[in-house]
Amino acid sequence: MHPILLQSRLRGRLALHRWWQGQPDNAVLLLAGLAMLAVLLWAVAGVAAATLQLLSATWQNHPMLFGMTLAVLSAMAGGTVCGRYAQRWRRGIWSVQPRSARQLPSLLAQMALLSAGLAGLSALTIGLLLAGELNLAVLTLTGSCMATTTAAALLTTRLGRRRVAMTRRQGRLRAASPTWPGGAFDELLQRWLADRIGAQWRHGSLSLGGFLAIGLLLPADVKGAPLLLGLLLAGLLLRWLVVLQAGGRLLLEATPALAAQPLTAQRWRQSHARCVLAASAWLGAVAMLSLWLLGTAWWLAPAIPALLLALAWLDVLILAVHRQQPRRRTLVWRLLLVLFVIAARDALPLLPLLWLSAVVWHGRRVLQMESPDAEH
Amino acid sequence: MLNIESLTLQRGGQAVLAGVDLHLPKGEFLALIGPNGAGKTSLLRAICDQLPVDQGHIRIDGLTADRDPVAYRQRFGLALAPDELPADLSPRQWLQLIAAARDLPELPAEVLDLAADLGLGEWLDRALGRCSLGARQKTGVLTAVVGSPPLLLLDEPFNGLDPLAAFALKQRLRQWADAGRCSILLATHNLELAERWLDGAALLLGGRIVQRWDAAELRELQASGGLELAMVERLRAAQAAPGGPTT
Repeated sequence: MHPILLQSRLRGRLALHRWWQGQPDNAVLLLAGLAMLAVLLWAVAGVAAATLQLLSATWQNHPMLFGMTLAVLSAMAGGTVCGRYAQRWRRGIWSVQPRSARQLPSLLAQMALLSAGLAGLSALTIGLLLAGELNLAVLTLTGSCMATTTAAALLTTRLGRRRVAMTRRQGRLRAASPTWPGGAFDELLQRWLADRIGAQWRHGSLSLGGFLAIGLLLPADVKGAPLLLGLLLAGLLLRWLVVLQAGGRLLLEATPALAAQPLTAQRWRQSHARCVLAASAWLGAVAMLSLWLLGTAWWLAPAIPALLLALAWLDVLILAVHRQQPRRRTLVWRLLLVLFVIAARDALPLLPLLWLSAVVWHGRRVLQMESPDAEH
Repeated sequence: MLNIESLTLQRGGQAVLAGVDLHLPKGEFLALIGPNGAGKTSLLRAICDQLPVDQGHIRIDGLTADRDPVAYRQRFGLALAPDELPADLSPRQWLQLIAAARDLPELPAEVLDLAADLGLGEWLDRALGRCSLGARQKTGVLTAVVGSPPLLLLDEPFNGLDPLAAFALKQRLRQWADAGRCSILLATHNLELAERWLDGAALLLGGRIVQRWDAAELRELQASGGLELAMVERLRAAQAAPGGPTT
């Protein structure tokens, strides 16, 4: 096996070992994650059923189009992963080791083999699920996915050298940061958040999973310009979500670096709240417009953005309580999402009550933390 | 200035600090020396209220972190390690943020002067992620001096500094201590620095301060093998003692 792949295997084993040693904390997180996944699948199953039928019909009626789309997606995924490995080999710690020239072609071949195998397995599973039997169409789909992924893997890793040079050039151009004019701490933190969000907006990736989720939730009867515009806005929405996450991450990163500074928790919370809520307002507007264009029910179009704002506000409070322990924040969110989804599906009137309880509970914790008598 | 009494700290079930007593008067420049894992960094972090203390008290100018966290933090400046600094900000932006956190209207000129003396001038407006190790180290040290706090806490501040910058920093710290502007507690393995530039050294071993030398004693030591030899002998004696700490 190629050394870089061995390194990945070792990393995986170490991560597993650390995870095992981190029990029971990790076990609780995993259980919460699995519960959240199960409940989400259960919740979207009804909505997605019609879309899955549509997918099946597309497979039956336009097998060529379906196969090509899947092959392109598979090639994109395979190419990205292989390109990343080739970059690590050329630029990472391995680049300074006494290595032979034959090891790069060996890496390319092994990566291409691995990604083609995975692509083939995925395509075969999808084909079998949709066709219900192993026939020529399923085999063709599997073969074409394997072929395009192999080609993309080889091409991306070959072109890697050129991309490195381009990245270096772009890096030099971006090396100088703009100077801030000065101001109070809250203003400077806002600027930092804005800079980070801007950088994330420019370089952040769109989640393929998010796009697929939107695709599954699309009503079958929307066509033409509203569909295109709605999809475009939905893409924008996904990007905003990435941006919002970046804002949260920055505050988690900044907390240890600024821990020795004379700052109160209240100042932290206010600065964070302003940023998140402003971003959420934009997010809400884009969500409402895209839902309306995608033909969603009239009452649902404003309801979802309102829900986003409510969740953003709750996140501000959860982050304020758990900013020293990001893992607890994740756990709380997973548990709350499970409760929210169950309530949304079977007991809708309970949903605002649940949200309010969570807001009140976390709000009280924040006030307790900010009181002068609180244990610091 | 700084008073530590019977400080005990445990991490992961192990005693990191086991009854540390330390008094640092105003204007004193003290080196905290000891083998790896002796608890030097933990002691600095405990002073900064970043590690929960199990027993004992830490007071700066009579203030404690639990009673008045903001005023307590105003009284010290902690130098950050290069990897603790945010990669996407420039040194100037980061120092501006620290100045604002200390309620200063702008970045003090004195900090920019020191930055120039340390040779950080040309790096001030580059993203920290693209700065050299030395430039990031200088930024970490400058973080501590923003707002002229009366106590500076420095953990190996000379790592990665070129000789010119290291000399300029030593000179500036010495001047500040002589002028009584601040007290300085410096965790270091650089024993020569402790001998030549500091007012004293405290040896931390097994979570306790086992020996302390003042400036006169440090000078005497120079005639008989220096602080290095004295420390090595003390460590060997500790290792040889039954149940003594391993280093």
